Amino acid sequence: MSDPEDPLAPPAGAPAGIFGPDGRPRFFTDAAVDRFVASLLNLAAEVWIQEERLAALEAKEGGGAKDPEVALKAFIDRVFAPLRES
Amino acid sequence: MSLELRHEMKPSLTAEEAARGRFVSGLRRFVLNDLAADLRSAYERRVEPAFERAHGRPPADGGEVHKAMRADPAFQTYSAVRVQAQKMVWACVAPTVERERQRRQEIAGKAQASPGSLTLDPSLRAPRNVTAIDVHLMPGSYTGGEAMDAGAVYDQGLAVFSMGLMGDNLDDIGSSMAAYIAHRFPDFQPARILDLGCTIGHNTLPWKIRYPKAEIHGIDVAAPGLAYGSTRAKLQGQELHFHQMSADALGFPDSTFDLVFSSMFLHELSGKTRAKVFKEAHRVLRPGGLMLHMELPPNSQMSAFDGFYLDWDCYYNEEPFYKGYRDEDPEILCLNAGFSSEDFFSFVAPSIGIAGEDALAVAAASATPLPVRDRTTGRLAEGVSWFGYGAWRR
Repeated sequence: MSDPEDPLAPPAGAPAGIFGPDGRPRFFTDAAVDRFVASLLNLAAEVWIQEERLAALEAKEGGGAKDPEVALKAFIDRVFAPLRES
Repeated sequence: MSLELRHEMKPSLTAEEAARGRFVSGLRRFVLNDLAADLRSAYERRVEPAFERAHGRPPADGGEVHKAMRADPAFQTYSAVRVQAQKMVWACVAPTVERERQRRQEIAGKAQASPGSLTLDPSLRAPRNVTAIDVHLMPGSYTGGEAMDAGAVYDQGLAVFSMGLMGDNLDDIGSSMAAYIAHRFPDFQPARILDLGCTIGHNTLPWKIRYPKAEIHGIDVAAPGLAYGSTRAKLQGQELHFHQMSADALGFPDSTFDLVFSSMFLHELSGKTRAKVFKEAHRVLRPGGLMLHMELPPNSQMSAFDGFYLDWDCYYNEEPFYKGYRDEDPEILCLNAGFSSEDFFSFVAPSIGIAGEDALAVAAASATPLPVRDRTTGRLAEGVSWFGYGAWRR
């Protein structure tokens, strides 16, 4: 039985197999999918950064400024639509 | 939205850093609104009916919901995205914090002569619940990096993390609690206030604003946050006194304070430490003083699904004592520390930043306290409200 005072012990009632061999949370049957999700999100961040900076340049050249918060919401909804439940 | 800090140590962001922070805030909003809605829908449409077919009853508690949800794709997607979004919070501010280290030190140097104090204790060893894990997945936890780095990471990270729902000075919890107490107990005028586990003092500051004549103290075990918080308070013209101290062994004499407060602190402590903290709070309170805690609502006041939803952080956000705390009864915690049942009260306070001061006044004046609302109490969501409880010392 794990020590309830030890912060490194699995929390009480933790289902079996929720942590991978590296001690980190694991959600998918194949741990590679967890890593792939992380990479996908990092990539999306990089694409957004380019999009926001490009929009700023276009605005400077008279293209009309867009609200970046509104543009980001549309970007996230568009890119991550496949993650939603239908 | 990613919040812009209100004090002089706010970072000068490059265009890339600003865009990265905005993205991470937006991603968190997507997870906590859209994917969280999918999670609930998956539970109601698939997981709960399947559980009932197998067991002849619905899940009894959050633990059973958790086990049943593990294999569902909505849980897997929500969780994998939420964990990475949390890591991205800290990753997006770390380069800025490192780049601006020298500037922060210069600002701190200039602010040093302002009213307020910082008392560090180099002999104090931070406990393992702070040093052994990356609390909230924050690399290095509250003690990492150089000088004030961990404080700066926390402040800037919280600005991204909070999506604008924790106040424009990240003080919504403290402001809401202080306003609620002031409206509910108008004759209570605390002269000395102590904030336990105050980190950077963001929720300590509102007590000084609400009770400007009071002497305000904040304690924490982690020096980087205290040093940063002390400067942060001075830059905002508020006289606060910060001490490096453990809440389970306070270096104050008996009957020192009129109000002992904490926010989002107790769930970070092991059961034994938590019990000691309550006893110390009782000891340093003067008779007639108030102990007040803002925390996550207990599992006993939530549905099985919503208990599971909040307890997610216990397993996946490096907060190992979270569920253990939420399984406890706040009143019993107070009684075990020497408070009386008739002096105990609990309440739900609307967010002052969202609902406004008038809503808090109405809530405080109501004979029937607002109930814990599964979808908004203690949860960063539209209409957020905060759960609090406390007891008067006789």
